[in-house]
Amino acid sequence: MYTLDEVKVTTTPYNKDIHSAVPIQTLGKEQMQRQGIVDISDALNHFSGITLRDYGGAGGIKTVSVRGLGAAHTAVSYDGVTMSDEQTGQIDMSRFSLTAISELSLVIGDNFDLLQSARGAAAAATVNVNTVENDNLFSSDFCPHYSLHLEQGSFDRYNVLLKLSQRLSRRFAFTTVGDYLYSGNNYPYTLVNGLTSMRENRTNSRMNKVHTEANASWNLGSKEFLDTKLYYYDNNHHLPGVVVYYNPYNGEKQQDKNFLGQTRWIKGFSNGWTAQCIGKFNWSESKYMDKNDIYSGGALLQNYWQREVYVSGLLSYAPMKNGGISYGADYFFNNLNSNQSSNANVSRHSILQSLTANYNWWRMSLSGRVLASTYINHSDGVQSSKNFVRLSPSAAFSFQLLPDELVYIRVFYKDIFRVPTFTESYYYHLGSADLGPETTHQLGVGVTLQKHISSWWPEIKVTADGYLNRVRDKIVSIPITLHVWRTLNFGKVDANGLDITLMNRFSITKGHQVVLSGNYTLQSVKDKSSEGSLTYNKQLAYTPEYSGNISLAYETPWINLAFTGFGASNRYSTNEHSHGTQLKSYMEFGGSIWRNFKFVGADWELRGDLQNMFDKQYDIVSGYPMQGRSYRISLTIKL
Amino acid sequence: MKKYYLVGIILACLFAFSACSNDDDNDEYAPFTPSESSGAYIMNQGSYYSHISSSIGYLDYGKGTLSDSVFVTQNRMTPGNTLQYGLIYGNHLFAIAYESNVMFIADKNTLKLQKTLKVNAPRALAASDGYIFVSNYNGYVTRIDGHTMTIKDSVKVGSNPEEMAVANGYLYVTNSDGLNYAHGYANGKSVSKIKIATFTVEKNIAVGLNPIKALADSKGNVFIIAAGDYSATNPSILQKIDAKDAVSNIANASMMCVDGTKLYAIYNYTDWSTYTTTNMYFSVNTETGVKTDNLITQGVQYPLSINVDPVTKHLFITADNAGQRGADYSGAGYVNEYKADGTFVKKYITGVHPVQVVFNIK
Repeated sequence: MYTLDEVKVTTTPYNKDIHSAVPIQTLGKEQMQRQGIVDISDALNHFSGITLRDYGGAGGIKTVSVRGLGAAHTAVSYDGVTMSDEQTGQIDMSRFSLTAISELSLVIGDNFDLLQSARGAAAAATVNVNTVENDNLFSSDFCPHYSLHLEQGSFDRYNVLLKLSQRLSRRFAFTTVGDYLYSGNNYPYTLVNGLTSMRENRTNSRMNKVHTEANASWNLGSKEFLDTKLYYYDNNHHLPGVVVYYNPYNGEKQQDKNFLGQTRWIKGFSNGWTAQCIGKFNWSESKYMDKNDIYSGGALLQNYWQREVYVSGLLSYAPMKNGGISYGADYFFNNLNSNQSSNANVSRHSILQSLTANYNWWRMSLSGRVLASTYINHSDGVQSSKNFVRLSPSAAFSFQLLPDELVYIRVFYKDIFRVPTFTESYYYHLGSADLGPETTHQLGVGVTLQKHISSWWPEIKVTADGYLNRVRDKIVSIPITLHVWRTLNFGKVDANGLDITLMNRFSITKGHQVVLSGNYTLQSVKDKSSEGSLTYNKQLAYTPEYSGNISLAYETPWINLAFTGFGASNRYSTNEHSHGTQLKSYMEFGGSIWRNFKFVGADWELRGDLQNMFDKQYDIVSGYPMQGRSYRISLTIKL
Repeated sequence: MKKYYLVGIILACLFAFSACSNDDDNDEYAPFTPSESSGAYIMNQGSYYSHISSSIGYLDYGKGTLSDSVFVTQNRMTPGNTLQYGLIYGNHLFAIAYESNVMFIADKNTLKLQKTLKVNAPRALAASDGYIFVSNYNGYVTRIDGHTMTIKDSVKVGSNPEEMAVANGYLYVTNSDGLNYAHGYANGKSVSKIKIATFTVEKNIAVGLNPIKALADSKGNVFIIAAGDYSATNPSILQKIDAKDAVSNIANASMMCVDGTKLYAIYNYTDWSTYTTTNMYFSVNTETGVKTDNLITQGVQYPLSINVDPVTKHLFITADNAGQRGADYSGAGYVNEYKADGTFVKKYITGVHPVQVVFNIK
């Protein structure tokens, strides 16, 4: 009998952040908990290269701009399928509750995944929100598994989340989620009026949010899967509005509803072929009311309805381990109607096709994609927005510098555009049907490193990426007279910057681990539209020159601690950097303490979080104060 | 310490009494012909969308300089958001801020705030017979007693009223229906005529589409500007309402001011095929209707208001600066001063979006 020599295996899990030829940043649920990330804006702030525009509080709109390109160029994908809002072109990230998310990732450029649908590659950057843990679903027993999350926080915040998942047979499993949030959001803030400071409270800002969904997964055998989701979201919220001196009243309310059903079928064949089909239906309603007797009837009511039908087909051929090719074709139809007599019913047909190839050879990897897009617009009664046909190329290259070390250099290029939103094309007295697409060109170069240093310092990961981005034909609204504005493809933006991420894991003794991580973003995002104008060569509004975050986590067998901080440099609320419109730099800190234990056969987690612990008063969007010091206590029971 | 407080209180009382006795001697609101003007207040609206609060600038004729910090320095607070209109009446400057729902009542020489009144969605001011009238965007005109500085009562007028004019014992209120643009300002197109003595609406006078500006000349004629719907088919028009309430069209105009029987106006003309805007400056004799074109050659690009000093007869045009393309609504604006014949005198930089000039007259 032979005894094998003890082989010391240094397991460095395959890590997209390091191996990918384009910047991909991933935050898993465990990592979020460990880093003291409490809500979606915290999580997004942990990505480098983003600028989060946050209107404050749980109900405030949160949108993500990546590398100076503008929020309308950031797509959001929910469990693998792109979400859409053709009216505004932006997805409000505040709709997602972090408790229901299993993984959040940011892909800048294109991930060149052979199974990526054409539409999934049609944005300059994508935030992926994943909720379903399929791997876990089919590895569990056949018992029902419950997870109950109860949370209470400052300013009348209550959150309940109940999740049930069960593997019913060898081939079928499902999960259902019910998620309810109530928040008063009536937090205090410091109002500075001229030379006077006073403490005020946000008013008219409570929200009631329900999100429920059901996911079913069939394992149809031999690499064939069918996943289906039904999703419903309802957010009934008051809008606190911008802070107005002397007048705290605001009568605005909004109710957003969204129903969607999506299904994905995938089958792998033995000879390297894979086929995939996706189908989706989406309905959303947005009802806005401004209760004020200046309007005839006592209120302004603006209701909008949007629908989408989406189908996607993809065929991939990867005969060898080191390369493959895929072709995907997507069709989607969107329409918008409203109760406004001044707005027509508008719709759009979109046809996207992508051809993708990957090839790995020696220590190099090369990827490329060509996306062909056709957009056909229609509107009842008024002039339709222009139709577009375009080809958009992208490519990436990475090289492992040393054979035995995880050190890579990477380069990517992506050329993509966005079509004008329905608002930009058609809005009463503002929209213009003549608009062309807004284009972006991204060039990124980076270095990544992952290393096992010693037994007490098992992991260090570093990524450093520089980029040169260009936005051309940027869609901007320009006043013709005081009362008439026009939307034109007028703007030009040059965005150059550097994104750095760092993660260190230290193993002190058995069961004691310290994780120190952070990121840093340096960005010069300058208006280049028209030389000699007041805005020319100035940093765009709401874009900090540098921002970053740091987090320190200490895990012990008894209790876990996390300390986190993030901040940004001075910004301006106006593109012309007008006097008095500078927003001061800020740094906000938070701390978390939690303990996991077993009790009566269940897994329990008891957690306390303190956000903005030094009560820093700041605005990200001028006139929308951010929440000061607040706490949250939560209990999660898994059975 | 207490002693000083006591002294302060006594002094304040003395001052209060002396102020009262002055009032008793002669009514500060008695009609008068201005003989002296020492400067001009500039109402800078600020920007709602860029969250820039309003400011009041003071152009000191003696020093020849404009300072934007007068109000804040005096009162340590800003004059709110969306400063809409200012008026000097008696010894006070009355100023209203639309978003803030307030009226500021300040000493007209120092801008020291004397009272802040809550008023509902205020749009414009007028004054007569010791009253200050506020048009409320929710369809009312509110009357404020100039002696007690309290709200007396309100009267219902048309939808979204804007500027007002006082003539022949009546208050003429423009009913714009401005928020109903989607339905062609259907409930506007009128001027409510209020009898000042009874503070009741006597009649509605039909005028052009979307009336927003009003003033009266020294002969009791009322002039209004119906702004139209900002399209080629319905341009902005200047109309005259005579003492018999007969309405006649005078010319296309976007903004105006009057001195005696001389009305000055700017027509901000937009060519809708090229989306270019040009400004025409002219004057009209309010009695004869004779129009004099090309009043000003060295004009501005993005005018907001034209104002005339009743004593010096100088014209002041407030304007936005040029932005990337079109006007810049979140940067500093300016005021151009002209002689009565249109000769350019001086340019002054002021706050964001200067909408009006109020002259400090005696």
